[in-house]
Amino acid sequence: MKVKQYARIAAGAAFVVLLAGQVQASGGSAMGASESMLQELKRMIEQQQAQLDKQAAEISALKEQLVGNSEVIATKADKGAVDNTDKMVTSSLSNVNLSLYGHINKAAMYVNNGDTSKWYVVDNINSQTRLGLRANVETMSSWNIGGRIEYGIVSNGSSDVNQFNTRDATSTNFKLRWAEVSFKNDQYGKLSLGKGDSASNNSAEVDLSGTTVASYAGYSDMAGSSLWYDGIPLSSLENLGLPTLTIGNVHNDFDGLSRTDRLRYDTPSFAGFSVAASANSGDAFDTALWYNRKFGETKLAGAIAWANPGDIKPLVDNQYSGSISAMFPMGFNATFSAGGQDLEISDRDDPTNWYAKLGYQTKFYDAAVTSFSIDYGETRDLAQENDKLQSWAVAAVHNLSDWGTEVYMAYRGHQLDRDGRDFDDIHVFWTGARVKF
Amino acid sequence: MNPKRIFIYLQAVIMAACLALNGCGGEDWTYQSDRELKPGPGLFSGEDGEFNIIGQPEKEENDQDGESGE
Repeated sequence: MKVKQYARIAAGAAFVVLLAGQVQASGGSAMGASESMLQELKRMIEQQQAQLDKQAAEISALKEQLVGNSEVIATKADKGAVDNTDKMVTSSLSNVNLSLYGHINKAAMYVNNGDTSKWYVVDNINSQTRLGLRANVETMSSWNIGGRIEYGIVSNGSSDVNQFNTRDATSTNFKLRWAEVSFKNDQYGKLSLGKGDSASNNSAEVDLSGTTVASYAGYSDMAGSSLWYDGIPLSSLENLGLPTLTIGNVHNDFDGLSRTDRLRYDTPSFAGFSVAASANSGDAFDTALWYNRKFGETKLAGAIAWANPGDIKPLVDNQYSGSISAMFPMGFNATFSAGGQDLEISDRDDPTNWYAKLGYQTKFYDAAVTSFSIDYGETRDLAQENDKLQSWAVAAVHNLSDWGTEVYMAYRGHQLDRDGRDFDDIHVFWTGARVKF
Repeated sequence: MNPKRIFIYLQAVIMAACLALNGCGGEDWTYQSDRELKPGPGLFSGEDGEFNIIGQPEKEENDQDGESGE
């Protein structure tokens, strides 16, 4: 066996030696062929490389075109820039704008007046549910002509419910808030005609805290019809037809003339200042100085106003109101409001009100701002001379601005001092949500 | 306290504060009550915050997160 194997190995070695000799003998001609083959291969590779470069350039151009198309499609989708034929309402004018807007604001509210405790599901009157249409058209010479119609849509308003009126407490579910036409020019100011804010409205309620949906100077919007209890059962008062007293009877922030049917003029803003004046239905007149300005990270807003309420408040000669609010860097903010009335009756003290708030805003995460505030206010001599209402509150509002939604909660306590009476304190808590359409 | 006196004090404080700050410059900014319709996106209307029926939505004038009365 071993001999056979050795013979096979020897034969194989001899064949290899012979083959090597053959290759060496034909060496010159093989080298020439390899070189031409290499040249051919090189040419082919260069040709393919050129083709690849060309295709890469074409792919790059197509990519750029695709990115451009995507941006155009995204812009159209975001801005709703669809062709007018896609809309049910159209205008033949290109410079017209018409928008539908609104929000819903609902809360669960708990009230304890020392006698009874009740829960209510309410529409938050701090910023009631509403729906409106706003239109404007740019004309020649920089004039803008606008119109606005807005209705409050309220069921069980938070200022209407009380111990006897727990459901369907709001008699007028649809209440007209705005119905005006306006003419605005950057140089000459704005003229408004119809129902809307009187010049002094909101002058006592300037507030930068971010918690006004839960707590603000007009705090009788929260449980304002709730009844004070001083030991006499409320049902007895009701049955005997005796007068009852509510939070709203003893609190007022004297915030101008609210919304009226009026002719109003607003000057343009000069270094943050503007003046407004309105002549209102009911022989009422008012004027206000408004201010808002930003200094670096600090924002400042304020207003002072005077009103002659005429037939709107027949027993009042003059009404004064003002407020100022500042938002400082890091989210700290402060607000102060005060107001009062000159009554026609001269033999009693005139009613006054003041209110102060401290607040803080922060972001626990990027998508939301959370605002906290504490406040205190006093109203004196409103329903009766020597009445003194004290009110205090803590509030928190979590604003998910990208979702148009705020969730909030607040606690408010009220204490009333009146000659010869001993009312229990009223405690109110609410939590709810405001959702912008 | 007499409301006239409160009014005069408040007027003085606001005027003094505003004039003092105006001396330091400042820039335009529009206050909008937080109890009115808030600026910014709506839950259903998206980025514009309003349903635009005709034309393009109006550009908002201020940067406040947070509008009036009742």
